Amino acid sequence: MHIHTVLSPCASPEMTPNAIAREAARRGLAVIAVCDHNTAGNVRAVADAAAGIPDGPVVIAGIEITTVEEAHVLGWFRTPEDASAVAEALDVDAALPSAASRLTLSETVALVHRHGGLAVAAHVDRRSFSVPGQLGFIPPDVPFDGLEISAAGAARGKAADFAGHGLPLVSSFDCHFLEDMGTGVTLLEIPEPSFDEIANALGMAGGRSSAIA
Amino acid sequence: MTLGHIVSTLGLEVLTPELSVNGGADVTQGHASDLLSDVLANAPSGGILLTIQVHMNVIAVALHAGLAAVVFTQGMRPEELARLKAVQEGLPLLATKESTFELAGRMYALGLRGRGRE
Repeated sequence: MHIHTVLSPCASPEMTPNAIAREAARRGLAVIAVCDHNTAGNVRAVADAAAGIPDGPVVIAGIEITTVEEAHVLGWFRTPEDASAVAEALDVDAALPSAASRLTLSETVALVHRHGGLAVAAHVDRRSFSVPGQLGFIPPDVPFDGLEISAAGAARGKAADFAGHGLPLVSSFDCHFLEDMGTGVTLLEIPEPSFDEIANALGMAGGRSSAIA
Repeated sequence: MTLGHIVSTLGLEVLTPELSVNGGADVTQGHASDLLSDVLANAPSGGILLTIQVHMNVIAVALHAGLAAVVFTQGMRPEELARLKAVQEGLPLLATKESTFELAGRMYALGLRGRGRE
């Protein structure tokens, strides 16, 4: 749920849309989310690549947003158009794609919600570029839809540190290399892999649920 | 020295005129950081914080760390909501157009020190 493509300066050049789609299918992933820094420019390319191969994953349109406080927030959206509209509103210099936008954390989450998306605080167990790292703690008045625990943090039991916020926890790898895909896993109990069902699972609606693997 | 002495000597703008800067204990230490997790872990209690971090959390973190005041450098300013919270909690907020580096240097020249090595 947090995969970078070559559009992110930090991602390996091997992270092309075709390679990501093929690797996800090979690993049996039903859903992946493409979350480049402040852009949704490669979402459609990955979705097209996935649609063109047998057992290709459902591709969720995402963005990893850098707030003005330099905290990273994942936005997951129903359509690539929603994601693109948010990316456009961020107005981050294309020459510095992972730089901070001018939006505060609260404004960022509100923007994601206005476009029907889910806002998840990224890798909250890490010191760098996380909401707790930048801001000391998770502000209780920001309506996040979930908190992401890094795969390494989940393996070290860090999820327990964030259980008291009343928010669903998800785990993903923050994947910059093909070999890392699928190593941080969130289990979703949903009838079909879609954005709406993921939203239901995070909201614990209709008997859906989520858990860190 | 008193916070008031630091404010007048360095020409700092007082963002919380509702609060006195002459009352409290002497200020002898400072810390410069924009990472609030670092402020929580390393800022010396009773010290003064220099930062460009304007998120509301800076107020709660400064209070938790027992800081004497927060200076927003480089022309940065907190939202009014954060300012009001600081007034309510008795935390003086100051501002300057100078960079953190410049202001820290001038504070050091005045005799303030950082937390030192551990």
